[in-house]
Amino acid sequence: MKIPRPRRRKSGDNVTPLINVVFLLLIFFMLTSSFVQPELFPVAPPQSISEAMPGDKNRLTILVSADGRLALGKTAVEAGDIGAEVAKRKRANRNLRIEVKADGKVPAGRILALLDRLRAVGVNRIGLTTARRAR
Amino acid sequence: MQISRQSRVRRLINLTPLVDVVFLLLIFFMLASSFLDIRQVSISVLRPGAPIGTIDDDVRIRIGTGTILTLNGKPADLKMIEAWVRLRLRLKPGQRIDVVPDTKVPLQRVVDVLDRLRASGAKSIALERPVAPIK
Repeated sequence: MKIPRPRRRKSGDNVTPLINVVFLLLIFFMLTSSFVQPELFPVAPPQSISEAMPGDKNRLTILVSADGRLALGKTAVEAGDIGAEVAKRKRANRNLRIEVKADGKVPAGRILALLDRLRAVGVNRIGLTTARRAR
Repeated sequence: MQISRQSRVRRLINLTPLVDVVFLLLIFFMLASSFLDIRQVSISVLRPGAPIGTIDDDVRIRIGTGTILTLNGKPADLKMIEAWVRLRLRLKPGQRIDVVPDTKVPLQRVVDVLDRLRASGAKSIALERPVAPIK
């Protein structure tokens, strides 16, 4: 009896289209994304239709979380010390621009209290960080 | 004469490690990237003792809890406020608009009002602390 020769197994599925798609996704993510800056706590800034871009490297970010924690740049700060800290950094860099990145849920009273403290150390203009609202 | 079947060209390069690496890169970019489009709204911080406009001269918007809004002490809605701000700015370009949010109003609502003011052409907007809650 003649036994048929086992046919060679067909090679696996053609993976070329998969690789093409994965490459396209990779290029898409590489080109369109910006990296998340590590922050002390998560802050979801309020949405706005504003188109003004945040300032350049002379900015100092004050983070305000929804539960009231404060951070100056990457260090946690108590509410009472924020004025002194900002004043110190302002002396070191006269062109410093203050940006407040506060959570959209923060009560306005907390922001007003922060503005009072900044006003006391001579800050006369701040930027309030917002996220662009999808149209 | 029997023509021998041409043997299939062997695939020279094994693509599997390449695909592995590309997948890893893809996952890295997907997790590490942020698509949050950051913008900002600038706010004047009034110096203590800065002259506050006379009643006639002033555009003062209070944001109460819920949907309460007042314009120079009278109940108003956003459309009225926009119209008034446009009028004031035509009479006096550079007019400062004072926004006085109640302490419990979430920041998102304040930013929504600021957006509408900017859309009406206001350049100089100041946040101020309320003296007493809106009745």
